[in-house]
Amino acid sequence: MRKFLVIFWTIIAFIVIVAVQKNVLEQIPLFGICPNIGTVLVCAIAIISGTQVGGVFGFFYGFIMDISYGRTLGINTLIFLLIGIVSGLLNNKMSKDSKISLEVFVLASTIVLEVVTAGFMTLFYDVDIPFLYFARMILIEILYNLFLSFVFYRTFTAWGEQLNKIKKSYYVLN
Amino acid sequence: MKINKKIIYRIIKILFAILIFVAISLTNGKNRKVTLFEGIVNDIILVPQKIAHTFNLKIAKNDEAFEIEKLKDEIKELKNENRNLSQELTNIEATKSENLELKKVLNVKSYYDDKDVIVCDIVGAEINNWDALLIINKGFKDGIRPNAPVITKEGLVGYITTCSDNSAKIVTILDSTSTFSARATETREEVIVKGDIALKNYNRVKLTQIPIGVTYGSGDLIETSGIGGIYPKGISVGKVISFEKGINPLENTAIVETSVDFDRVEMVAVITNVGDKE
Repeated sequence: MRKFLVIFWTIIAFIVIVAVQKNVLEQIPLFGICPNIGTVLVCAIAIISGTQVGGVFGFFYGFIMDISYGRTLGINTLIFLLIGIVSGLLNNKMSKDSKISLEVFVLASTIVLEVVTAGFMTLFYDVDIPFLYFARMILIEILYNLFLSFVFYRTFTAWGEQLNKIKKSYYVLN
Repeated sequence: MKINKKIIYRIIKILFAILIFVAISLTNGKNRKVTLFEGIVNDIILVPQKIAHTFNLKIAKNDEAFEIEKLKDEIKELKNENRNLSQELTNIEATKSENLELKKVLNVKSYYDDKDVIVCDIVGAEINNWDALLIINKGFKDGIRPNAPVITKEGLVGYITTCSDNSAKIVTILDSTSTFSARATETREEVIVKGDIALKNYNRVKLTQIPIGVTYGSGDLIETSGIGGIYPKGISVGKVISFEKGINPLENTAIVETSVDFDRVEMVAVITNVGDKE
C-alpha cells in the first residue's frame, strides 16, 4: 500500500511540477531566461536513490514534459533519462548530504540539457543560435537553477528518500 | 533453462531506448492531432495555465495604471490621434471601394472575403528559452486542424501545430523554428522571415535571404507571400526597424517588429479553408 501511495503521489507531483514550470517559472524569467526545475528535481532524486530510480524518474518526468509541450516526443524523455542515470552513477562517489554535490550535478545537467536541445534544434529545425547569446543563456539558467536547488533541496531529497525506501519492493528495478 | 533476469532487464532497457528514438522520428516536425492520453494530460495542465495566463494579461494591461499624470497626457494624445485616424479612415474607405472595383475589373479574387475562420480565445502561452507557443480554447471537435494559419486583425500570428479535441497549440512567428516566405509590401521582393531566440522576447523576427542590392529602411512593411502552402498571401507580418549588413551581401538581414503584440493578444482567428481559394 505504501509503495502504491508513493508512486501515486509521485505522478501527481510530476503534473504539479510541470504546471509550476509552465505557469510560474516561465512567467518570471531572469533577463529573459527561464529556469528548468526538472534538472534540479531529477538530479536530487538520482543522487539519493541511485541510477535505476533516477533513470526511471527522469524518463517519466521527461515524458510528461514532452506531452505537455507537444512538439517532438522523446527529446526531453531522452535528456532527463540520461541526467537521471548519470547523476545516479556518481551518487556513490559524492556525499549525499552535501548541498555542493547537488549544485555540481545541477550545473552539469543544465549544460547537458541546453547543449543537447541546441544540437537538436540546429539539426532538425535549422535554428540559428548566436554563440554569445547561447553562452549567456546557459550562464543565467545555471544561476537560476542553482538558486532553485538551494530553495528546494530539502523537499526533493526527502522525496528521493521516500522513493529509496520503496525501491527494494519495486521489483522491476532490481 | 533459467532465463537470466539481468539479460531480460537489459533487453527491456534497449527496447525503451528504441521506443524513444521511434517516438522522436515519428513526431519530429510533424503537426498532428495528439493521442487521447496526451490530450488528457494537456487538459489537466491547461487548467492552472488558464488562470496564470489571465492573471498575467491583467498585469500586462494594468502596469501603467498608477501614473495618473502620464495617463492624462496619453488621453490628450489619443484624442488627437483619433481625429487624424478618422480622417485617414475616410480616405481609406474611398481607396478600398476603388480597389474593389479594380479587382473586379482584373478578376482578382479577394482572399480574405472567401476565407472561413474560427475565432478562438488565447488561454495560455508557452514562451520559454526555445519556444514561443500560444494555446487556444478550441480543438479538433471545433474544426481546428494542424497546419491551419492563425491571424488577428493586426496581422499574422502563426500556425496550428498540434491539437487535441478541446484545445490546440499555435507556433507563433516568434518561435525559433518558424520560417516562412514573405515579401516587402511596396517593392515586392521575396524574403524569408525566421524566428530568433534572441529576439522573440521583444516581439521581433529576422528577415534573411534578402536579394543582393536590396536594402530596407525603417518602417518598410512586410507581408506574407503565399508561397509555402501554409500562409495565404497578403497578411501583414510587421515593419522593418533596422537593416544589418552582413560580411557578404548574401548575409544581409533586417529586424522586423511584428504587427501583432504577442504579450497582449487575446483572440485569434484560425483560417480553415486556405486551400479552397477558387
